[in-house]
Amino acid sequence: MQEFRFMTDVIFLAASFGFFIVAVLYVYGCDSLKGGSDHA
Amino acid sequence: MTSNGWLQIAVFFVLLLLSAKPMGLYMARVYERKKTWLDPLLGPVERLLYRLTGVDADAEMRWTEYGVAMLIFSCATLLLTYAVERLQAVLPFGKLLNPQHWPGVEPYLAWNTAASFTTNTNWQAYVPEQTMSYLTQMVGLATHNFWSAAVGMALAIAFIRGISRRESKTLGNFWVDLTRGTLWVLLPICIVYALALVSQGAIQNFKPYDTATVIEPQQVTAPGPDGKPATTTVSTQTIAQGPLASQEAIKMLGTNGGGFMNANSAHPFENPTPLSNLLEMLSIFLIPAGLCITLGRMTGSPGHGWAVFAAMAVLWFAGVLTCYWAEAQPNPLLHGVNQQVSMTSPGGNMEGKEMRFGIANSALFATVTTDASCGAVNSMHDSFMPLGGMVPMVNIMMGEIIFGGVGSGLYGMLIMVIVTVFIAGLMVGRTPEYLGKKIQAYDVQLSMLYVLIFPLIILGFTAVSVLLPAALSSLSNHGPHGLSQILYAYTSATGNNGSAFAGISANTHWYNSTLGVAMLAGRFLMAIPMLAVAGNLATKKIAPPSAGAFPVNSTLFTVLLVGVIVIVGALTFFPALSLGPILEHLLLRVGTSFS
Repeated sequence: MQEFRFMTDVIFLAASFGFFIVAVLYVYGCDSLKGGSDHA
Repeated sequence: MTSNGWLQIAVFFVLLLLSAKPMGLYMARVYERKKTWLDPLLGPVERLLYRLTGVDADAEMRWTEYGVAMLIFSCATLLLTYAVERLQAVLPFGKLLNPQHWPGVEPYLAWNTAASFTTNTNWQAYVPEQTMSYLTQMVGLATHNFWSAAVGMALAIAFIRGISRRESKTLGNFWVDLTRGTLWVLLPICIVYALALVSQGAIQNFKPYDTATVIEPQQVTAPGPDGKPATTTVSTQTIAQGPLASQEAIKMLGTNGGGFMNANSAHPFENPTPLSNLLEMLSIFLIPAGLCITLGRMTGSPGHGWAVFAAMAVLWFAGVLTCYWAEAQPNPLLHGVNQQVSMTSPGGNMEGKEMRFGIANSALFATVTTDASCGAVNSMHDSFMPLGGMVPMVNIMMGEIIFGGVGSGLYGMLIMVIVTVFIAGLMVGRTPEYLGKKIQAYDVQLSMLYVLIFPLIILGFTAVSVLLPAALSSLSNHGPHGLSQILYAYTSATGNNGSAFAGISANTHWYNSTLGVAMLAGRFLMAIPMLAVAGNLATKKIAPPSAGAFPVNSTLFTVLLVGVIVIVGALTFFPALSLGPILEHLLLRVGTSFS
């Protein structure tokens, strides 16, 4: 059986969480762009 | 090119045309929660699922809530797949579901694969039959084929609601859309489809791999344990088995593309006959084409749905024409050699192609699979002639909107519709309107964010990779073809396609991690601005049609839409293509190739 690479797993789990947390912030960032910009 | 080849391409399109409308109208009923003939069977299952998960099916979501729910679901399922891959050697029922005793998947590869299947990309940096247990294939990968497809469809439906609703703050309920798309659309079709594939010869079992004695033993020279070349006689062949047909069905219908076998749809177990080949190509386009009709029905403008369908069909035809023409040409390096193979295959580039499919069906499959974000292959794109190989790449560079991925193709196309309507408005000096809704600065800003993220990821990662020795060492060819291999890899990942110029050895730390990031960014960082546009459109009033409004169900609209897509794609990627496949084509004409 392949060795259990704990630290690499932790890094990938953290990277995955990190990406999705950034994506959630991005959602609210896009929402906040709306304020008062519609002059067309 | 042969009349036989064109006849087969024509049959494919006629069947697509006939199936798009019933499929689209059925999906409209499913997502509008109207009665369908499957309700007696699936209604209780749906209600049970909501009760078990605590979902309030009547609750409506703002676009931000819809987007966050989608992200939470995707994050959870990504981590589930990662865990299943890493732990496959110790998971239960190993004797039945891991008969080859495959060890846990290496972390970089496991993460790349988890990101790949979560984003509907199905980029495969591994050899499935030498890496994944049956349990991983089913629980980690096939389930994702359903989920990622259902997520894409839900997002497209949310966008359609954004267009069709008036002065509404909400876009529907993500959990309901996800559930209904899976239960009513994907599962029933896949059950019938998998049985049809079995009837053609696709396998479905849990047997350990078979061993066969080859008719003619082969002498094979390969590096031995000491690194020196050693010749061995190969007299047996291992034949992989597994629950293939059930994964094959959703792989095509969900435009996922990840093969159960490494050879993908070129493998006789995955794609046994010309009939299965036709079914597989049709199933790639079935939902994306149907969603155009769903758009027309749900927005009350069937003509608009068909106008969008027509724009997709025009771009599809341009691709298949170019690819078929390029592959049917004799290789200029073999000048003077009779390359005719048989009466039905009158020469041309057969390298990397199955004899049973030939050039026409290989070119058609390559075009279809890259128009949609499927990525399954029945021939090796790396072996195509330079211009033939450029077609799949350009198809993805257009943004995977030529029918496109299930859901993602339609919402990508609708973003281009907004850009088109905006440009048309600029031309005549009026406030742009789209189906009675004013397109304002916020909508255009977010649409352009969607359009610009895509090339930024592709060209950024490609530029870094051509400077890194570690990245360059993965190439099987140098010169312009090597650039094409890298460019194709990041284009395919960001476009969530998943096909490859197979010459690149992508199972390295660099490619596994950066392609994983490209896949996640290409899916989610583009879907979010799209949802923001949808949410904003939903809040607007619908004005009655005026004489100055640009009709979006006309031929002029289709022409303008195609023009905008081609110009945006061409302007963005033409310099990179000039250094890759176009340069390779020109050099090949004068007899220069690269090893």
